[in-house]
Amino acid sequence: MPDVTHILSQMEAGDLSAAEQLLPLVYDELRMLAAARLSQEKPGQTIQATALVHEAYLRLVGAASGRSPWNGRGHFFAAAAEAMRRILVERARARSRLKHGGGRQRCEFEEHLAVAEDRVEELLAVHDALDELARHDPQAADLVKLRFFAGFEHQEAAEALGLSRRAADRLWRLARTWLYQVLKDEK
Amino acid sequence: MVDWNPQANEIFLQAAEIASANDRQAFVIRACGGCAALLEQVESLLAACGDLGSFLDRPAVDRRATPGTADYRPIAEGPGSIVGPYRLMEQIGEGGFGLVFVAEQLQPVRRKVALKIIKPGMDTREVIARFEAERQALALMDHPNIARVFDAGATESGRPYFVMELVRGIPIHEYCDTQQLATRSRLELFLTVCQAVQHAHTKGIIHRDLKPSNILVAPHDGAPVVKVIDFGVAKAIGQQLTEKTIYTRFTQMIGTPLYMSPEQAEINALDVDIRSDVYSLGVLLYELLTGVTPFDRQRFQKAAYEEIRRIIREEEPPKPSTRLSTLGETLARVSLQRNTQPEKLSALVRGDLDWIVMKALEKDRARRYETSSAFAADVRRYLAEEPIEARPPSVGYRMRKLMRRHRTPVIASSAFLLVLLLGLLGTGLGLVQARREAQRARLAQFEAEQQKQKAADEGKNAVREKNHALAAREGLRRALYAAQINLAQNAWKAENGPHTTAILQSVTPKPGETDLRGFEWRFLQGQFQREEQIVRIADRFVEPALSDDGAYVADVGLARDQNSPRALKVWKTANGSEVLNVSLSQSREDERMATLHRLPSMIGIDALQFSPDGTRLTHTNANRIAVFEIATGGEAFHYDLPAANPSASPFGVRTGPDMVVSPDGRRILRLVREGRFSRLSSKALLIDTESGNELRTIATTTLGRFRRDGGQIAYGDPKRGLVIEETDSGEVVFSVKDWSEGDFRNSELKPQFSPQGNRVLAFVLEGASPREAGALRLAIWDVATRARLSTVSPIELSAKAAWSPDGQRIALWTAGLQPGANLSLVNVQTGAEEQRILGSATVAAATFSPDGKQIVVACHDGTIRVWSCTPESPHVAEPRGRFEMLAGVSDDGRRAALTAMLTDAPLGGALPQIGAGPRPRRSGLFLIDASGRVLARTEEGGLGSVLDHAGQRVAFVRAVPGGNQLMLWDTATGNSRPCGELWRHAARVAPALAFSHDDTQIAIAMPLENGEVRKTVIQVCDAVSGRIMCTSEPIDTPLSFLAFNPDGKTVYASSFPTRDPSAPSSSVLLGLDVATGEIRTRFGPIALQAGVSLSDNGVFLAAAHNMVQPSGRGRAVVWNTRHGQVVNAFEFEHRFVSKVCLGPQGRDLLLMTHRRISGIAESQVLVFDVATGRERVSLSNQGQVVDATFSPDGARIATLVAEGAQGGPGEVVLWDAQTGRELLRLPAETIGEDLRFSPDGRRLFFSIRGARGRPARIQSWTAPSRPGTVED
Repeated sequence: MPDVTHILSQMEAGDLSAAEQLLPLVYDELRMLAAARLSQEKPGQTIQATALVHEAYLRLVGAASGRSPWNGRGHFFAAAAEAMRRILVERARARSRLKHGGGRQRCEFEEHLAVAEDRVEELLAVHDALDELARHDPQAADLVKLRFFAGFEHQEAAEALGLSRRAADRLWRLARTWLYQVLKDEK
Repeated sequence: MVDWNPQANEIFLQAAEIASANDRQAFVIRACGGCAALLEQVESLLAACGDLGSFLDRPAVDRRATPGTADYRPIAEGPGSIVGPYRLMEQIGEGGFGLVFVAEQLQPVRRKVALKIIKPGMDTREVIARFEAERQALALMDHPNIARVFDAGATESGRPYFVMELVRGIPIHEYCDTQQLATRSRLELFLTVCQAVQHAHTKGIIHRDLKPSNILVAPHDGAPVVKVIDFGVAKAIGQQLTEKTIYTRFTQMIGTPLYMSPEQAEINALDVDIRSDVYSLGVLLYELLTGVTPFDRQRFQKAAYEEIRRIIREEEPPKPSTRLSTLGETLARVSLQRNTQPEKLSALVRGDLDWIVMKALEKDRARRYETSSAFAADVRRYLAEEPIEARPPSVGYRMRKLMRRHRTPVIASSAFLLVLLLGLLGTGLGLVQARREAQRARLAQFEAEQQKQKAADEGKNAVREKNHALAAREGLRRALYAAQINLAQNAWKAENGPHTTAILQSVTPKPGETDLRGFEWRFLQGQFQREEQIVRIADRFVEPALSDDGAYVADVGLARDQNSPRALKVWKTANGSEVLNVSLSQSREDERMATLHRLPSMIGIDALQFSPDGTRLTHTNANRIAVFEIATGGEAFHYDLPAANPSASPFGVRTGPDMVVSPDGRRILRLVREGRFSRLSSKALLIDTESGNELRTIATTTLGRFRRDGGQIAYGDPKRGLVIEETDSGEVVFSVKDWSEGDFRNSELKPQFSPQGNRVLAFVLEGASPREAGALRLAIWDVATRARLSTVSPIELSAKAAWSPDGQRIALWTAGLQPGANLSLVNVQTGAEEQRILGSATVAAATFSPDGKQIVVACHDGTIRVWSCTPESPHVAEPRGRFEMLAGVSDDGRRAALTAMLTDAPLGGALPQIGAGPRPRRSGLFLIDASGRVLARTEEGGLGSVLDHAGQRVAFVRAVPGGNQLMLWDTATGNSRPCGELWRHAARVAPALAFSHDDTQIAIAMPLENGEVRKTVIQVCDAVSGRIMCTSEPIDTPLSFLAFNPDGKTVYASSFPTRDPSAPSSSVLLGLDVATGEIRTRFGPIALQAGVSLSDNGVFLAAAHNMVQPSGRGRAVVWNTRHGQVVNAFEFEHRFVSKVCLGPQGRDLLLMTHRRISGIAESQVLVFDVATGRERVSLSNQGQVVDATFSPDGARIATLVAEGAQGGPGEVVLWDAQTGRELLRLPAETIGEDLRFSPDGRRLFFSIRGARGRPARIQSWTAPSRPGTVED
């Protein structure tokens, strides 16, 4: 199994293909963590997405020996946000299937992520437009993933991506505006 | 397809940080540098950004969803759970607030009920407390169409729940649609709903959340039964339209804001009454008729919280029939569901049903149906084909349309810069003002509607009806006129010339209509610069250039389409003749832009510049400089940019070409940019025109400007500031950076040398702090001393400037972007604005005439206008003495006589003595003009003085040894001479004085005292020879009022007005025959005279009595002067009258009245029709009316109103004398007296008494020409 720290350092060095290896690792870790958490919590409770991501980070990177935990942080969080996005989208799709007559599914951990009932459509729409945004400006897309899918606060997201507050403000404004235009355009 | 354009994004991001909309617009247009496609992208981004609301702001995962916060846990109860005494069965619904289950009640009775568990986010205790508060009232409701509410409580997990009568129905609109109910059946069903709601209202229960999902229809014995559910629930939940309720439960909640009344959408919707339900019923009926809600569901889903509230409170929804017509394809389905065809449905709804629905949907609940039964009654009337109560608000629509027409046209799709610029006109009015206008207009509209209503309701007599209709139409026109004048006034105050002019033009009468325009119209029209000359040259100017002397104008027009070339044209400004016409080939840069944005490039990047002598014109685009000889039309030379070395620009954004040629044509300065974004570097190359050789390199980031002779270059540099160097040697002769830099760097500075070359101006952005966006200022330096001469601030971002030929003044204007059409003339030495010209078209370019006395402007409307610009040097009047008193103003309001106690050394001659004081005091007489300049003065003066009608002579009484002498001072010659006899035993009281209308006679009422006996004698003298014409017998009372009949044959005199009821017998009013000196007529009796007025034709005389007893009502009387008979008498609720004024020909009588109600003074001006005795209008002012008068034509009344105490600021208000409607308000610096119009109606003025340190003067307003003579 490839080492997350190693992947991150590869990415730091410019090897962006390493990201493809990072994502499944983070994804699995998140699911595992969630499952572990759920076993300790009472049924019917929810898990905070942000906390999960942070915990995953500490487990996968923070404990790695000999390296500053802050190296490659942006890449990690971007990957984590992407993982959260996929999880949420899966859940949203499942929900919308359910609404249209699908049977009840087994209670999975995604069920316990508090996706607001009314956000399903919005979530899927943003998800679709996000790939296009990522083609134009990957960092803007990462910011959206962190804030929208991983529930990061603005300041947290800015730090995770290694952006100054002002740069993050600008990027956020641009990303929101552009996505809004795209979504409006589709309607 | 949405583009991703980094350049547009960058401009957008910068623009989004600019707070002021105007500044932002200016920035965007500048940054886009004329590229329409780019502009469109940026505008589109900005628009989207404005719409964002909370889009994406809340994460898809709930951040607050931490374990333990019960509030956000989903509802855990499900079928089988026990809630209180109920056992849940199946879930039957999911509403905005929670889940609805069928539940079995176990005790005390076994029955099935509906149980609604409220979703997370509510405070359970509060909900239950509110429900308990209304439980009693709810229990009183007993109606077959209302579902009963049995109980409320909290579940084990702490959620509130409600227990209601179980209704197995479907929402009313779904029922109607599935049953394909025709409109008639729908209306009948709707009546049932109204009845149910009415029942609840009579029990004091307001539903607050009426919507289709709360109005269920269930079949009962084969017939549909309506059940309104959830009564009392909304109130218990305390539901309000808050950000939280919208965004936490958006999709389910969406029904609620759609049916929510404007008052419920208020932040604190405490004041909600049954009319709120009437509104919701209106929305329901709307939906039943059209299949859609008044406001678009989709739109609400996307709009931000604030925006939803704004829409509900402010936006007028379309009429149902209008909405049907916009449904498009959906209309077919909607019609089918109503078992009819689209055309039939529209026709059915149009008219009465429209008005019924719209009345229920009125924003102002006072205008809605009072109750739901009133609403139902109107629907019933419609069904019975009886006339309905609701009225078509046709006037309202007309007004609204009118207002829309004068507001900002929103142009979104156009690719034309110019169109966009023009589109910005009008935005400056501002929202607040627009609202105020709307209020006023609504008021006028309301009155107009009432008029119309009145006319409509009037009698069966055909003739009467016709007359009433005509009168109503006239009333309507007057109301519209007043509303328009209000709009124009606001536009004028916003300095928006084009807007004002447009509104004024719109009230020009059509053939056959009476002309309603009066002083106010002419006054407003007169506020704009009168063009000395207008030459129409083109349909429009895009970015014109004027030659320095203003003789030529050049412009590059827009291309008609992508393939046609753009034409560079030069015209003579004097006559509009075309002297040059060159087709321009598209520059490479234009092509690049066009390709980049896949849009036709119909505008380009051009710069036009005339040579100082006006013989040549330089056209510069991105690649080429071409110089044309204007006389021959030939090209003198051109310079092409080397093709191999294209000039890169940072974002492709350009504000103009990167080249400039020296005025003498010898040198070219070219800016070369390399790299991109942060790594951008640039330099300027100086090129010899003839050889094309590069002479030297200048390290600068901006393009410089040449001095007029080409000898020096000025440019802005971010580090060095404003730099001037010798063109050829490069020696730096000047470098300053004496400004603190704002956040928003503006190193371009756009320097401009004065014609003499000794001064330079530049636009600098100075910021108070580094983070704050700077304010743009115009700074002027002396080149030799490097000292900043002056600063003009603040100015608009896109301001432009032109030097006057003498270099002493600068004309400053804002091209295209400002709604107004202002041009300021600024003094170079002081930076002060010397003159502000309001034009009626927007200035695109301006230059001074060679003598500096005129400004030649090229306006965006394609005209050349010549404005005079010799500033009137403002005269600051100094007090001429102490205790200044105005002794009269000439009829034309241009001259005034004043007396003052002199404070300076005597001019020579004997000291005139006044009074018996211990020290001799000197008094002086002055003749001043309207600006306060002294035209003539004399060291004489005395007791009482009066100026003649022409403003030529002053009559005054001088105290001389042995008595008083009437004197006449001829201001033209400076001579004074005695007039009439020397009055012995004269009392030291100022006598009344009056000139005859032709100024040939003068009357004096001299008070005499002999021991204890006081008498008054009236004497009339010839005002030329001083000869005595007649002397009256002694009269017992002192007199204050003297007036000649216009025929000069009678003088009327009256005693002092009094409010003292203890001396009621002292008032007299009499007519004296000038030929004989006999008292011919005695009018009266008058008790407590409160004012006297003689009509302009001398036929009528009016006086008012302030009579306390016996009726307790005041009284005014009008006599015919010829025979002394009473023409009419008027009674009015008792008030004190302070002025009586007869209108022209004595047709109208104006009374200025006052009373005090619980300590607050209230003034009212009453106008009576003299012939009929009827009160026609009463003008109520806020504040105290100090004076009031008629215009010479009687169509207007002007009042002078004090805002506070005497001496404070006030206003002159102009009213329509017919309707009493306010037309114009003019601020007065201070309150005065004697408000009058000049006989020609061109001036309105009043006199201001002097005060300590403040001279007496006239304040006047001029309305230059009469309607009809203005437009030629």
